[in-house]
Formats: sequence, C-alpha cells, structure tokens
Amino acid sequence: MKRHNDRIHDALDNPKLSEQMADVDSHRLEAYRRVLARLENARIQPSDDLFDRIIKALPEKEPKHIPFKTVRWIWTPSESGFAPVLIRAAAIVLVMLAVSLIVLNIHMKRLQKTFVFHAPNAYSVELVGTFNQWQRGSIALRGPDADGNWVTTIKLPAGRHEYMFVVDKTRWLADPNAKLSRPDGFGGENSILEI
Amino acid sequence: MTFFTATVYNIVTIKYADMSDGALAERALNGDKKGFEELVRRYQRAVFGLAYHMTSNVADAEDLTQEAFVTAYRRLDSFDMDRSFRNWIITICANLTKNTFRSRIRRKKTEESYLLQREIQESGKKKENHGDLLTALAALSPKLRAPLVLKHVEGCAYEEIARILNIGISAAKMRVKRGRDELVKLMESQHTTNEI
Repeated sequence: MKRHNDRIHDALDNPKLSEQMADVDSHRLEAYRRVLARLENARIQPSDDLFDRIIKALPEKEPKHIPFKTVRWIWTPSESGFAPVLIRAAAIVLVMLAVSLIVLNIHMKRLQKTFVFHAPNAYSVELVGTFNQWQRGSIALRGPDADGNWVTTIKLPAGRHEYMFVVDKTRWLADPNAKLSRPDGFGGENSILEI
Repeated sequence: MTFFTATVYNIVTIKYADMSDGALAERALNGDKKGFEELVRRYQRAVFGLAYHMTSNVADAEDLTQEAFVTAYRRLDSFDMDRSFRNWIITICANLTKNTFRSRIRRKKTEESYLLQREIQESGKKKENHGDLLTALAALSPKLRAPLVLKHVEGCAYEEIARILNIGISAAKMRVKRGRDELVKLMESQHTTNEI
C-alpha cells in the first residue's frame, strides 16, 4: 500500500516518467492530478490597489547601504523570523569571552618552581616574596637534606616575582643562585625570578 | 525628427521591465525607488498567493504582502544580488506568516472560524468556485500547507522550498507528499461522488 502511494508521488514529481510506470494505480493518480490541477488554478487575485498601497507604505528614507560586508553582516537583520542581530551579538560576545578566557588562562597559568637554599646549620628556612605579600609563616622549606639544602616547590603565575629567604625566623637573606636582584630599600637585596 | 526623438527617448528612458532582479535592487539601493517598484510589480502576486493560502484571509494576506515588501525594502542591503529576489521575498513572507499564526492562536476560535468561512465564500464567488478546495486546504496544518502551496501554486523546486522554509530537502519532499495525501483525502471526504 505504502509502495503504491510512493509511486503516485514519484509519478506526480516526474510527469514524463509517469507514463512508463506500469505499477502506478492510474485511478488514484488521476484523482491526485485533478485535485492538484485545481490547486494550481486556485490563485486568488489581490485587490487592485495593493500595488499602490505597498508603494505608499515604503519608508521615505532610502534603504540603508552599509559599505563593508562584515559590518553589513553584523548590523543587517536576515529574513528569518527571530532576532538575528541579537543572536549574532550573543555569538560575538561568546567568542570574545572565549578568547578572553583563553588569554587569561595563558596569562594566569601557574607554573611549578622549586626554590633551594643552602643552610646546613639552620633550624628553619622560609620563603617570602611578592607572591605571599612578604608574609612569613606561609611557605616553609623542608630540610636540611644530606647536602645541607632546604627545598620547597610552589606554583606561581607567569611574570616577575621578588623574594627572599628568612633563616631561623630572623635573618632575611637573598638567594645566592638568583640570576637577577634589586635593592630592597633596607640596605639588602631582593632576588628576582622571572617566569 | 520623430525618429531622432524616439531614439533619444529610448536611450534616455530606463527600461525597468527588462532589468534583472539584481540590477533593480542595486538601483533601489542607490536611491532609485522605481527599481523597487518594478520588483513589487513582478512578485506581489506570488507573495500574496502564499500569504493568502497560509492565512485564508484576503485582508491578512494583503497586510502580510505589504509588510513583506516593506521589510525587504528596509533590508535590501542584505539581499544577495546573485540570488533570486522571488525566493528571498517569499522567505520573508513565510516567516511573517509564522508570526501571524502565533498571534492568531490567541484569537477566539469562533471569530477565527467565522472569518475563515466568510473569506472562503467571498473568494469562491469571485471567479471559479474553489470554496471546497480552499476549505480543505485551510484544514491542513500550516506545516504541510506551506510546502504544498510553494510546490503546487508557486511552482517551487524542492530545493527552493527547503531554502525558503529553512528545512532539509527530504523534509520538504515528505511534507509535500503528506500535504498531497491529506488534501486529496479531505477533498474525497467532502464529495461523496467521484467528481472532485
């Protein structure tokens, strides 16, 4: 039954081939053709003044002519029923947000950094710097190991960091292995780490 | 002298009727409103035809036709000059029709039914009597009616129907097929004799 019905539609879509289709129910096909022929002729005419009414309703201002295709794409609404300008604006905001997050992520990516300080006779070594607002008590180094080194590994964001070691809770010392340093304003020097 | 005047007249007079849709749209964009007038003249019947079969109401269909052309005029800059203006304006009309259906749902059913019957009777009187056909067509869901009208009244190809209604080609074919089946079924149920 379904196959016969499909053949009728095939015959309607390909009138030239329909004559060669032996398996089409010719009575049903004729019934379809009669209805569709009437549909094709059932064109209702609009009022005579429709043209004048349309022309009268056109805005006086000329249609907007936006020179660049990209700008045109952003600003000109398409023919779809929804609000494409809003959809496009939302899409642009989402893309910008995604790009910002990627940039921010790269910028804020925290890298592991190991600090080593040689002090075989010390009983405590701490790390202070711009990354912990020079506050003692937050980053303690472990040690000493067999070589007399105190070690800690922390995660730091990319950028420039100044730091010092506090030995035995009283002595503030620069890192002798630091490649860069600058005066701390108290007669000493801050070590500088750039990552 | 007359020959000379006629020649000059022919050179100076712009023959809008001979121009392509793209050229007319371009002229309209450059401030020549007559270019757009020619586009209205060419396609107002096609747009009205779709609008009428979708709304079953002459007044609504004429309002939609007017709105479609005004929208097209405002958005003319987004029209791709290489594409068919007919398909573009019909797409605009199809989308406006969807919105009309949404607002119509809010109307009272009795008023809707009264208006539909009155319009069908009036249009039936105008020329040939298509009252039974229009009643059957109006009974189809808009989802099936739109592709059926585009195919069999506007003569669109399945690819064009798909583009206009923003659906796939296979969906367009399926809807036309179901539309035909339902229309024939409704027509047959209206007529007890074989005379459709």
